Formats: sequence, C-alpha cells, structure tokens
Amino acid sequence: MARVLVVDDAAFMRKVITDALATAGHEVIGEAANGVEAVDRYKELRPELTTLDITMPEKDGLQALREILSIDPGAKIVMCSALGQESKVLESIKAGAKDFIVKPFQADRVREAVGKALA
Amino acid sequence: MTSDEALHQLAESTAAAAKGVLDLCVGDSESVSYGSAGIVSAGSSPTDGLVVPAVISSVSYVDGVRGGNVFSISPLGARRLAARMMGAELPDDAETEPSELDVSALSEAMNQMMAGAAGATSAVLEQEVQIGAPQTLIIRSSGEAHDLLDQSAMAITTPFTVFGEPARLIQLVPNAFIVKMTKALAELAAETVTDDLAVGEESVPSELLNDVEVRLSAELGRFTMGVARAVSMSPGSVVELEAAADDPVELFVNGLPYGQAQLVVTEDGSWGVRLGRIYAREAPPTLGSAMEGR
Repeated sequence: MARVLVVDDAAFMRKVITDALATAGHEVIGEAANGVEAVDRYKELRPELTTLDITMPEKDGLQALREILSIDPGAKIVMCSALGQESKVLESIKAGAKDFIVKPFQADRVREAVGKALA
Repeated sequence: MTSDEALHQLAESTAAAAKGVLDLCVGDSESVSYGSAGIVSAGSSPTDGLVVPAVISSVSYVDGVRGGNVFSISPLGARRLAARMMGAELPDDAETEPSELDVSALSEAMNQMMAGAAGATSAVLEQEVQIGAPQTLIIRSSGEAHDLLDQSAMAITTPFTVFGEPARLIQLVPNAFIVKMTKALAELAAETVTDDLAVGEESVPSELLNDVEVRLSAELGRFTMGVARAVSMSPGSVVELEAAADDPVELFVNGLPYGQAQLVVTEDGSWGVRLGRIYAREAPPTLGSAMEGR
C-alpha cells in the first residue's frame, strides 16, 4: 500500500480520488490544489505516488509533472485528464508519467492505474 | 456557411459534448437535456431572464482561440448534480445553499464539459484549443451575472434542464473566433462534398466546385492492330479508324466519359466540338453507357 499525494484544483475530485484510494488501502498523505502547491508538497512529503490533474490554475499539471521529475526522476505520477485533452496526455506520458485516468472515471479505474504505476 | 450558421453549429457541438460528459458524470442519459440555441441579439444580454440565485461556472479558452463559456444552474440543480456525481440521493429542498463540495462538483463537471467541447472545436479548426481552470461562484442578483460577462462578444445561449432544474449554457464568441470557425466549417463542408463525390453521391452543391479545373478531351476514333503492324509502321502510313468522318467524337472530362459532339472548325481555324449528347443528363455516366454510344 502506498503513500499518495492527490493534486486537483477541485475539492470534489480530490475527495473522489481519496475515497477510491482509501478503499484499496492506500494512504493519502497530502493534497494540493494547483501545480505550484503540487511541487512544494512533493518536495515536502516525497510521496510514493502522485495523482496530478492536467487543467489547474497557477501552474498546470504538465508543468508540475516536469518540475517534479526534474527533482525526482523516479517519481511515480498518474495524470488525470478530461475528455478532449489527448495531446496533453500524450505529452505527459512522453515526459515520464506512468499512466493516466480520463475523467469522469470509476473508482476501479483509479485503483487500477495506481496499482500499475506502483508495480 | 454564414457566421450565424457557424455559431449555431458551435453551440450544438458544445451542447452535445456537454451533455455527453454530464451523462457520464451522472450515469444515465435521461437526467440532462438541452434545447435549441439562440443568438443573443444586439441590445440584449445573455443573462436576461436568468433566475437568481444561481450557481455560475465559467471556463475560458486560453490557447488556440479566445472566448468564454458560462454554465448557469439553479442551486437545487447544482446540488442534485453534485449528489449524483457522489452517488448520493437527490435532494429535494430548494432552500439549502450548495456546499463548497457541491460548488466544486459543478466546477469539475464544467471543466470536463468544456474540455470535451474544446476537443470538438479543435477537430473542426484543426488546431489545438486549450481551456483554463473553471471559476465557479454563487450569484444572487442579475447585475452580478451581467458584470461577469464580456458584453462585447457575440453570445449564444442554449437552455439545459438538469434533474428537472433550469440551466443555461452561454458561449461568448469574439468575432475573430467566428470568422475562424465559419471558414473551418466551410472547408469541412467542401471536404465532405469531395468525399461524397468519391462514393458517387449525386447531390453536389455546384458553387463549391466552381474553381475546380477539369480537362476536356475529344477522341476521334480507335483501331486495334497487332504489335507486328504497329512496329512496322513508318511516317506517312495511314491508319483507318473505326469511325466514319461524320460520326460524333467521344468527349471525356478528366478521362471520364462525358458525352458526344460533332467536330467543327472554328472561325480562327482551330478544331472545336459542338456538344450533342451529355451522358449525365440522360443517365448516370457509366463507362458502359459511354461505350454503347460509340
């Protein structure tokens, strides 16, 4: 079971992801609501896995992904995207994200992506 | 394609994308519906007639094109949408204010709706269109709603019903976006016509083909011979074609049988053809029918 950082600008989505991870026995050790907070929280908490929304204020998920990977090339990150953001998802995977989840999603999909990224 | 038609097409594709995402969010296709879009006339505001209080979520395009999208919904509608997104029972009391989590759920729904719509718009424009993060708040007066919107842009509104509650999608579209969209849709229509032609459709808007150049050729006649004779011929040899001097010549447009004509000499001494039969006006122009006309 892993220590997870959940990043999304919507409190609602953070709750949905946190609930899904909790049912799989993962521990959400922190949350962030934008890309700037995400990088700061990552440095502070060094989570085993991070879920990262793509569209966020201040700094988007793609920029945050690149910064986190420059700090920790071994970071395990799963991107959360909405429909219609295929090019951003592709860029994220090329940049080093382990997997992605397309919203709206079912809890099973969150658990599956996290499990795969941790494997 | 007029700018009004382009606006309506943009509104329709956005509304369809929004409904598709909301259907996925709530888990069925009956709870959300939408009606016909209307362009907001000069002197009117897209927020005219908006019932307040309302929860309003706005998303702007940040890359590719400029413009904004606003989704307005009654507080009870927002709470019902959030409840269903969280798998909870639908609330019935209209007096309770949406919680922060309800507002956040609407914000997330708007984010997903507009990402889907931006994807559809990107496909039409053949250009990446990115959206910014949504901003969501509760407004309590129509003046607040009016102040939120850029009144200089063209606006088109689409009425929605979400769990029986009224909602409205407002799209603010700057002129540059309309021009780009109109052009892209016209090009798309032309491509579709070309595709239709390739599979033999008959309905061809001729104005779209006016600028296409075609090559017309005339064939006097044919003769079949063996290779031995062909290689033995020399300058001065005469080959008699399988056609009489006054027989019509066959016409081809880009190699396709087109019709028959009489060979004539024009006033300046050039060869010309006087059209007789045009196969397309008699029957579908097939190679077989053209050959029968020989």
